Amino acid sequence: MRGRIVSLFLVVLMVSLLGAGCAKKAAGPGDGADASWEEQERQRLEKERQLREMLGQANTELSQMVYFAFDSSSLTPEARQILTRKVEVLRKYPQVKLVVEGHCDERGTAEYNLALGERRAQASAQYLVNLGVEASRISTVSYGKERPLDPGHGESAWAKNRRDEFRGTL
Amino acid sequence: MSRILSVFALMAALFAASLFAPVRYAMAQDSLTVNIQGPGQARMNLVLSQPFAGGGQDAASSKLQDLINKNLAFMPFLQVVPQSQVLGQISGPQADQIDFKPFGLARVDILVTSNWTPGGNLGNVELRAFEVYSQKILVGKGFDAVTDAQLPDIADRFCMELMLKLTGQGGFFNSQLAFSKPNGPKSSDIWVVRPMGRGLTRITSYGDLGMAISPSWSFDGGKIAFTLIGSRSHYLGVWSGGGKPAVHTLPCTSVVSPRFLPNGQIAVALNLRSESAIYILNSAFQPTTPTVKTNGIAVSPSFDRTGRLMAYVSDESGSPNIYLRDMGSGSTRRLTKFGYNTNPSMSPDGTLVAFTRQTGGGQKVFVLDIATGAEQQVTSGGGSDENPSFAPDGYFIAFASTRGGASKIYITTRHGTQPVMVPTGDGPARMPSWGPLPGK
Repeated sequence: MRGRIVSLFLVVLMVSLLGAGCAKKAAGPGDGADASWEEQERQRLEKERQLREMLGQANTELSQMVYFAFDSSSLTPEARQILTRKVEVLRKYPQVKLVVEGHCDERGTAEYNLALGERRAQASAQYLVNLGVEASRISTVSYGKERPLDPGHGESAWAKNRRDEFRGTL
Repeated sequence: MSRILSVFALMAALFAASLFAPVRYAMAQDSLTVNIQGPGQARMNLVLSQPFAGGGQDAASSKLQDLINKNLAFMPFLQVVPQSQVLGQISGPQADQIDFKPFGLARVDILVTSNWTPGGNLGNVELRAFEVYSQKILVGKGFDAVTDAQLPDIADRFCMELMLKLTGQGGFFNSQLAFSKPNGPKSSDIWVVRPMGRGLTRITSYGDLGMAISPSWSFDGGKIAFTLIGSRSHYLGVWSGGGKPAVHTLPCTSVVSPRFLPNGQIAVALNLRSESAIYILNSAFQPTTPTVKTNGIAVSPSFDRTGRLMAYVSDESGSPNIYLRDMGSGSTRRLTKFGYNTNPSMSPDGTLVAFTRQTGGGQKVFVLDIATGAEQQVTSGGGSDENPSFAPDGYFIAFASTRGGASKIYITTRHGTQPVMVPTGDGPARMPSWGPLPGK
């Protein structure tokens, strides 16, 4: 028991240190040279990798995906349960922010799917906010059909690809 | 390098030869033309004769022949007939050296000859296209001191002149395609290529840091706008004809389907205040008031060359459909009446909209006549056909298709002629956007 408390303390400490090292919101690519944007993206991805390692089991809960019906951004009852469990993790780690990624299957066309993916990400984000998570801790980004989880071409693959993914970040 | 061959010396011979032309031709039109913008189109037979290369230019002449052949394959109003199928004798490249009658009997409309003579570099070449029935020269071009690197340009210039003569338009050879090429599961970049497959050039290189998609040419062919998907947000990329593209941050995380207006402004779908709307950006690349706002999704604006008409996608009816907005009056009407319809591309003259419809056999490209509402399916077969893009001439249409497996760029026409694949190198190619060459 004592060991678990020490481990948890260490995780929280490291998360806090990482948070302290992270400037406010990183400047966007238009705010500086392209090279600086690329460097910011590299640093961002590296910090997310470190955070995933630190969160361990909690990251598994945090990153569990939710799925959608074709051309829909409505949350299913199962999706709502999964999101509710994330709220507990986010309460436990107040430094952690969440990026919600919206994805689509290959049947729709790319630009419409990019907008649909955004609506899917917004649906999850809004649900979390409704459950008390600060809106400032959640951001959304859509990948449309650009990053399929399953490259197959049947309903089984499509069902896996109509999803929201969740990335913990700082 | 180039000089137009004088045709006056041939006139007497042509006149004499025309006395023997078939009666069918004597009653025919004054000059051979095809209306590519009409409701349908004729197809003309063309023979590309074996080159005359007496000075040891066999390799160069074969290469040029091959390049012209490949160019002609993009012209659906031309059917290339092998010379071996016609008994006519061609003893030289000029009209008085050709026995036209067998070509006329074989219903050949156009005969192309090439003649190489010794000169600087690889030599000099003369290219001629004859109208068989009149035995008149349709196109004659000569090039001196040709180099190997110039051969593609020579083929393009000759074919452009021929298309111009036959159809009144040759812009195909003065145009370029931008497209998106995935480099792996998390990487995609923007490339450009001429429709014949030449000049393949990569213009972004973001690796795993961002996915560049949805390229769109400016109306003058000088810039490309595109969406850059970063790890936490989308950005607006703008390439200005050279160097690294500028990347602009907009006050939202979703930046979808940026498109140039004829005046150089950019319209783009954004999710400001959790609403999807199409905005026109100001000179600082920031949104002002929305042009189209819906309760659902509004994306993929496409403009005619005046900027007066904008086609776009909205799902306000419950599924995505194509709408048309008069930018002057603000009036909007729905163009497609059923199904799942996306990816509108407006013809430059504002009379047609090409779009993608989801069918039982995957996405297919349709063309809709705005005045009548009549639709025509212009692609068919296996795979999914997406992202149609009208050429600046309003005749050709580029689209991405998985008919051969991985997505590749193909070219068809507003009439739905047999698609021809554009060479884009290894790997998939998606989301074509067709624009003119700058200054053309």
